[in-house]
Amino acid sequence: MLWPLSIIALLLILVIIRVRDNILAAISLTFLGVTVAGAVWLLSPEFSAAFILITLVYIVAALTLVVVAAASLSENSRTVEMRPAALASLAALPLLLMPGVEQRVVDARVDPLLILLSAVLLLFSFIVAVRLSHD
Amino acid sequence: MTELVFLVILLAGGMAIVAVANSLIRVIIGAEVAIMAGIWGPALSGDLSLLAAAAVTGVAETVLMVATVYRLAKEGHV
Repeated sequence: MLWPLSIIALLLILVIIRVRDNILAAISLTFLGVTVAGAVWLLSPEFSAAFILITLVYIVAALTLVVVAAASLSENSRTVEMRPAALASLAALPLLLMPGVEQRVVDARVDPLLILLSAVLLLFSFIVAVRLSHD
Repeated sequence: MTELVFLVILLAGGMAIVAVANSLIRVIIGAEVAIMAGIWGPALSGDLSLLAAAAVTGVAETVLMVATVYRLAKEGHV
């Protein structure tokens, strides 16, 4: 059931790699976020709240990236070399040998303490971001 | 099995985007794709609290990365 979404995610990642425009890549990232959110919803329909959450997260993230990319349109040809990071991702391949997910009990309740902690984390990161970008 | 294939596609795809990046925006996009793998992992565990924590952490680090790249762009490093 998840195979079509896996193929869509693979195609979107290939689009991000192939396309030369940063803004188009950021928009493809939004579609990839919606794909992952749909996969979460397909995996367990009790998590339909998470669909809205993840979709909103990635729409906001990609819009911010579009704004930043549009603000810095002076492209130069200096490449950022990060090929060792790609080789490190091959360390994830042995995960395929792990046994599959068994029938599990779905817990669709959120710990109320988590809301307070998330609010503090978000407030802190917003304060750091504002200090970082306005000094 | 398909769940793990999806996880590995997101992880390896994100790192591949980082590997062929020619600007810092692409590095951030690759990191976001890898963070989607970090959201997909808690979804497999079947616990909405873990999923919410992963999504909130994703928001926080996105805010910090975008602020950093904005600062770098203002100083002419992007």
